[in-house]
Amino acid sequence: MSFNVLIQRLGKILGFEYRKTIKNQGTINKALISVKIEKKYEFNGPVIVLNPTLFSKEETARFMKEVAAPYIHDFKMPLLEEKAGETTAVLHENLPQKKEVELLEFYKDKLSPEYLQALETALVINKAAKKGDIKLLKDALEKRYPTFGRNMSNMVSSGYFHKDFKELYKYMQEKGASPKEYRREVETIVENQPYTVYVNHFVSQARKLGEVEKKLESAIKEKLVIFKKYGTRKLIIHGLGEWNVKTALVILERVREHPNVDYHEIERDKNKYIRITLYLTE
Amino acid sequence: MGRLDGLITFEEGAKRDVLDLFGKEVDNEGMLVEKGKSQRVLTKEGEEISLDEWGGVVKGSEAFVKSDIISLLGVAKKL
Repeated sequence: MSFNVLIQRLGKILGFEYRKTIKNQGTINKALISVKIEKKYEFNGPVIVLNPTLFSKEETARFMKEVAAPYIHDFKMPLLEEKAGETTAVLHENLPQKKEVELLEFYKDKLSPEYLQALETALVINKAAKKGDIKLLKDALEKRYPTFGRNMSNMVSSGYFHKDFKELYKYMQEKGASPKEYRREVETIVENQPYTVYVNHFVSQARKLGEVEKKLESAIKEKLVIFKKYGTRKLIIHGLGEWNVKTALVILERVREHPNVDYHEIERDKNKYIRITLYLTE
Repeated sequence: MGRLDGLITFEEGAKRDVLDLFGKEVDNEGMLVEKGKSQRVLTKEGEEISLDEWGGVVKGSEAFVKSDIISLLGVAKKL
């Protein structure tokens, strides 16, 4: 059954000739229910606008039985509020494909169901970003998951889940950490993302040590000033692997004397892992 | 803007009228209920739905869905 069949049925119920309409209007490929129009139906380009509050009792019954019910049950299409329909269309266009499905498979047993849902949505949003404005989608993810939705979007687009968290898993697994510990570590980083600098993340963007140091230093200094302003007391620097651990330490030497840094703590596993917490001045 | 041909949508302002078509209404706490009864409409996940949250109807005994992005992603995956 195609959408055209439903429009033909609608024509019979409301009294318009389908073929004549198509000839005059062109293809009808959407319907919108609106109580604003003063007629039972009207055409607006490829959209037929319907006002069921003006339908007779019989027309309403036939509309539900011959159009709405088959549309939902046979056609398997959703009847959605307009904005929800637009959002669904964008999500549908950008559903996870092979690459994203593989990534989700990796995290399937490693993240909580909520994080996995948010990750999947963020991957879809990331794909949609290549085609248009995604602010509303990011806002929607933040609305659903206020504590980490926004960070999840940003971290997916920055490649954390494609690279950094996979490496973190490998490291933690070698160290004998439990799946629960890994989950907690990832979730802590995501939820504290604005307060975290992941050294490895910059490495993928700039290969020369000097460039990396410069980028990190300015990013950290910028964050230090911003956090001081908003009363946040700490900034975390993560590094994984020998090169990143050394870079993190070089960066520490450069920023430890910053006027907004009070003191720092280092959690380190030789040259494998480092977490530097910079505590800001009151 | 995504393109999804063959879609029927309804304006925000027509929500109550569409609910009426499906034999539902809104109680004095703003929640969806069966018309003439106090029995609340539930999502497939068993959650009550407010008029503000309600996103539409999908297949499955007229399953009512919320309009949050996770629910809509679920709808998109079934299309």
